[in-house]
Amino acid sequence: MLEVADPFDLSDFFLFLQLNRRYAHTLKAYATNARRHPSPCQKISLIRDMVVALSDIHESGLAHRDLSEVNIMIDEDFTNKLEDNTPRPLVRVIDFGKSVFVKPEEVQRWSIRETVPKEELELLPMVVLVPDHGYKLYRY
Amino acid sequence: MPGDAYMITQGEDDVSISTMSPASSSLSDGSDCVVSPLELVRSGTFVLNLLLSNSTSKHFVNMVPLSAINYHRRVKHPMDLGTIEQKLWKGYDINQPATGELSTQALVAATGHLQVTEGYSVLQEFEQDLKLIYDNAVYFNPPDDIIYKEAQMFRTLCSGVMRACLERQPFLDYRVPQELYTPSLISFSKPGPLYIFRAHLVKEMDRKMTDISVDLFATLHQPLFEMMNGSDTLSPETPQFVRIYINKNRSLLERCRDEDNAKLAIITDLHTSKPFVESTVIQIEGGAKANISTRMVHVNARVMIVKPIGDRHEMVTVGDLDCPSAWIMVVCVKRLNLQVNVPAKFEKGVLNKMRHEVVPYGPNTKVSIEHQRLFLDALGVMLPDFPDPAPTSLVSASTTASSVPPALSSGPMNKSASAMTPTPMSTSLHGMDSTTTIPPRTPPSIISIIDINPEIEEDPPMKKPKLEVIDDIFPLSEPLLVSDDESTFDLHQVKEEEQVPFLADSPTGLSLATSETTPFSTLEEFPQASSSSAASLPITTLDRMEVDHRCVQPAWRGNESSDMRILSNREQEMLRDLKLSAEDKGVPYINWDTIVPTLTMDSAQGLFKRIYHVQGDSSLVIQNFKDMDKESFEQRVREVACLLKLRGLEGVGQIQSVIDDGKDRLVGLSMTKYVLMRFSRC
Repeated sequence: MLEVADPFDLSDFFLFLQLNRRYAHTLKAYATNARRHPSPCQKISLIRDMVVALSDIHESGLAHRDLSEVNIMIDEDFTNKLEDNTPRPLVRVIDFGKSVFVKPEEVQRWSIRETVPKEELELLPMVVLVPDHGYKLYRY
Repeated sequence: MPGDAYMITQGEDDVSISTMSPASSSLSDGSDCVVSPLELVRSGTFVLNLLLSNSTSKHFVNMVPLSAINYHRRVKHPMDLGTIEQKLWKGYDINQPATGELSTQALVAATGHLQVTEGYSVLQEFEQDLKLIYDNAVYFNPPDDIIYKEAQMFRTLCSGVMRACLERQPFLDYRVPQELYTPSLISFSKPGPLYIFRAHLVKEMDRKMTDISVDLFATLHQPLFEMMNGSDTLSPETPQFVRIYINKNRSLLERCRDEDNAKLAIITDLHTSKPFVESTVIQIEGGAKANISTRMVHVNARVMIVKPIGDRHEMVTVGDLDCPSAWIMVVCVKRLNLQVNVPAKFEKGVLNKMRHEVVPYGPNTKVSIEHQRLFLDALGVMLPDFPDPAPTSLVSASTTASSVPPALSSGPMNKSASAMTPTPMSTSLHGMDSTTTIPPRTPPSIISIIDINPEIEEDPPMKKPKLEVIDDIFPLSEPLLVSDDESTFDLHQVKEEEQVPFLADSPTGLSLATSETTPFSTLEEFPQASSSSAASLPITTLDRMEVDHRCVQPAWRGNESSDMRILSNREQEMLRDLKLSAEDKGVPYINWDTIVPTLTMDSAQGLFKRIYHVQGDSSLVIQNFKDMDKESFEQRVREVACLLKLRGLEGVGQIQSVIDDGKDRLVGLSMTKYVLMRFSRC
């Protein structure tokens, strides 16, 4: 999506058309774009928002279990500029396919087993699961 | 007024500088002092050095261009750090004769090209101009503008720097580079090490550098470019001084400063011609001849020979590896337009790779001595211990055969042509260095053309494509290679093992592996919905595509159509619980059959999911679950439960609806779409 920012900024008799390409990327693509590095303000905003998002997830009684740079989407809010006049990055954690609950009542509620063993519940919030190969062969 | 002194006083809250008469000044109490014009330059330069080491000052380094009409209409007294520095030296130029202060040749030269007519007599004027920069910025720019905010940071920075100036009293021990310079530091008649620095113009650095670094280098190097394009005479006796900012190799910069007669060649506005082949026929000992072909390019650039001098200043980090990391003052003694032929390898491997870094220029085994000598001659510098020209017994001639293969440019014809059309290279080519002398391989009576050039590279063979797009018409006889990062698979090797009924009926007989254990993520896979011919439509691209809605059958039906798994009581209970949770969160349940006509299929898929998009709605992405066996059933229900639990949290992808088959069986979900799900791993 293209949007025109301040099309009538005639402050200096020049017409500046700033074409902001609105896009969303994975954190990996956003952070490693060789031609367009996040600014220092964007980086600190990004870090702060990621910590907040994960804190919210954990406070909700969840372990994501698949946090990676491709499971965090970054969009940019061109209407909300940071201190250095760069658009604020918006963080979205996605892909909860491997997520588990870590509160005993939730674990029992969403388990297909009629009764979850007591020793398993006592370990929470530590979760014991079989190792995951990470879908290595399913990547492009 | 000439001869005035100034007093520096420090208040409790702020630093202020005010003029006073010399008689009232005193160094005894440590707070007041009298300084001379040169000490005023030292103090001002000390402050400017600190300001220019901080990227906060970038908006205030250079003069606002006169083309900014509205700015100059509203701002009556524009000011910038460059003008301040010039006024600093102009003040020295005006006031120094009155004080009778000793002046060196370099100090006089530093005042010889100033474009301002007013200078500072006291440091208070200097400070007022710093404040004027801030005042102009906040007057012209609205409070929400970045320059307004930078101006506020600049004011804070100025306050801190002035305080540092007050505490250190830099005029007591600091020497400006102009004081350190003597013409004997650099001489073109004496050999010395050579270093190269490439200063990119904006048009040269817009491809591989970040926006921040391009902005910073373009701004900070503007005085450098103005000096390089100037017409003033430069020489060791009439030098000029300017700052250069570098990104890498700071230690080399200091080496260039400290080594005797070392020089730094600053290259900018580099233009390179297309490569051409230069053939040189040499006569070697014994009468045989050798043909040397070298891939060359013609280089045209603006060059200035300088010598770093004074302290190296570290830049305040701005968080970008491409940004300037340090700067140093250089004394500029020569400028020239460089026009020379250089080996393509040198241009590609050195000149073109440099990114605001200092690199040493020395004996290079990949470039012949003669080519290095030509480059040095074009710059007018000499290297120490550089090999002398080869013995005159090696008579050489050359010719240029643009775009002609080496084989065509060899032979007797080449020799005669070379005598008629010498290239600029050949005019100064005296012979081969002894290290490149080729022993005769054939009897002297036989003319032998030996191509010893290792630099002519044949075009590399075409790489075999790693992935061929599956097409409905590609012949079966040709193997289809599909590979990922780790391994390569020949589809034909697996097709017989992994045949799927509906694909066996396809027109080409091609079978696509659809087993979940087969690692073909790049292959298009249809939902395991049906074995009907409608589902065997060929996939022609790996990109997102529109498909007939008959193809968009939920993956869960692939198993259940023939073998509908009966849900256990616990599973049914979980589904009911899930529905209650969805109602609590206000997430609707929708029927898969009602959305099928609006769906388009995406190439992304995983073990358990298939991805669809909604026609006309780019805000949603649909995930369709596959293979709802007992284990994956729990996982999918839990995923939906997690998403419902996180519904409304700002930093989490949001579920929009739960999809069932109309009989309370979970078959998928829809999410807010943040990006094309092509690369998703479900």
